[in-house]
Amino acid sequence: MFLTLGRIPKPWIYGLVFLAAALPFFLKRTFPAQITPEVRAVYDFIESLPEGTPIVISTDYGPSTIPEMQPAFEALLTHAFRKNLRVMVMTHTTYQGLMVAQLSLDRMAEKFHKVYGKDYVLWGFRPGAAAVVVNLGRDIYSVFDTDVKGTPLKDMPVMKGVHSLKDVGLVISLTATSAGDIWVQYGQARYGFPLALGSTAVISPGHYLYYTAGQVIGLIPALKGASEYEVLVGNPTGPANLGMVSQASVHILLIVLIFLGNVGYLAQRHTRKRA
Amino acid sequence: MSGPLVLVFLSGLFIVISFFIPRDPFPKVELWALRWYYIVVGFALLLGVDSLVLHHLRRIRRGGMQAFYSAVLLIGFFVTLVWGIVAWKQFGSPFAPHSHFLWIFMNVEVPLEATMFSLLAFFIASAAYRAFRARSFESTLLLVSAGLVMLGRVPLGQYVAVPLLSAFGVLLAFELYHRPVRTPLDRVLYRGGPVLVLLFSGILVLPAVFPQLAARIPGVASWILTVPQVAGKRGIEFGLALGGLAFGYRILFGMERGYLR
Repeated sequence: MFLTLGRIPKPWIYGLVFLAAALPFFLKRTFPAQITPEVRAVYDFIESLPEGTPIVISTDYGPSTIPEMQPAFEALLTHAFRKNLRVMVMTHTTYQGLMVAQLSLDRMAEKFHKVYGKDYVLWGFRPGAAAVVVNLGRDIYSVFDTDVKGTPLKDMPVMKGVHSLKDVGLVISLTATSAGDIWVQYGQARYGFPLALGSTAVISPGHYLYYTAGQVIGLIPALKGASEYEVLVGNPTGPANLGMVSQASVHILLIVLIFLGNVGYLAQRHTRKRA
Repeated sequence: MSGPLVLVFLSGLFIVISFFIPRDPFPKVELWALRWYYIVVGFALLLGVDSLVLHHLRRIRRGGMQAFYSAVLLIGFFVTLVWGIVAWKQFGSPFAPHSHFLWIFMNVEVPLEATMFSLLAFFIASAAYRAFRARSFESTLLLVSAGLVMLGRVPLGQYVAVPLLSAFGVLLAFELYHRPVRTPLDRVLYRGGPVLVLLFSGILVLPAVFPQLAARIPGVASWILTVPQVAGKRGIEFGLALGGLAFGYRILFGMERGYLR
């Protein structure tokens, strides 16, 4: 019997993963996330910014990571708009980041009665990754002379007093690429502006390096980080918290499967030894 | 051959100097050089498009099932391109808010990419089930740490972590007990202390302190992420940085010429 535990057919595993991932979405039950220091640090920093402070959010992710990254973006927008901060959104590693930003930006702005060009702006996309960050640290208008609609940035009230990244209160990079490393190495290390990173689960362990070294003020690691931020901004039933139940059930299933696989493996070894 | 090498040396050296001397004229010229970088990136993109189209045209000419996939790709590519140009004319940018180009993004690209990425969950589950075996001390350590992080970072995970740790403890005790005894040390290891500790903790201690232990699991997961994980990763990053530095030095001085081929 133990031997069969090590040979569960692939279709069964796929079926179980599907059920574990899908069922929690129908139950619509959430469990409030425990707040970790790295996420609280981002929240507290934004909370400490005076009204009208400009912040930059770089959406460096594409459609494949929308479920993981978009809740963090929306929670950050909620916080920034509620605090009446000036929000500037851009992307520099993938053109898709521009479109994922557009999925939420106008909708969230409308919810908080914010005016485009006065309270928030979408700079757009410029290719060049590290080169973009280096230039933004010197002169924003050398990279983005117009916004995504073609309006000159210098004419917009939202850009008042903002010439380089040294003039913004906080830069947040939400990334599913190496953009986080670029922001730290070519931006924060060179110009010293406050930086926070949000990332997918695959990338976030690498960002703890910068957090423990004090190079970033905080982290929003993956869906877990987004779920914590949702709790902090008073939305404990948001998409990230809903997704976390699904993630929890898949994680638990995976660990149980690994345990069963090990039981089967040990049984197989003993059978071979006896033979 | 020496022309491109001199150009690479001079531009590389200039960027290095401007990094360390942030006084005029260096920042201004660096800005100008970085603008040139955007232009080069744009042309590199054109080269990519050219290579993609030619490759798939060749596959269509060869025929067969692969030709069908290539035809789908080329049709998709040109429809997107033409649609983008039309949107550019109408809205000033294909990515402008309310541009109908975003329809392609929302209804084709988002579902396609989300599907591709979602498939990873199934493959990872199957691969983890087959490959994550407690074959040695190191693999067992990796397995336990990964399990603690996976369960400690999700809601309710901590309550499952403790019984699973108990079960793993008992499993490991049985595994050690069944190992062949050849030396007196083997007798101590496989019939004595460690086995008893694993059995005792698996059956009695862990379940008894279940609530206290469960409450600590998220903290343990955070500790694994911020201390041992960071220590290992930092070592790797140092190695990578030094390797990058050496590679940059080789390119700058013309010792590495792979990019010229």
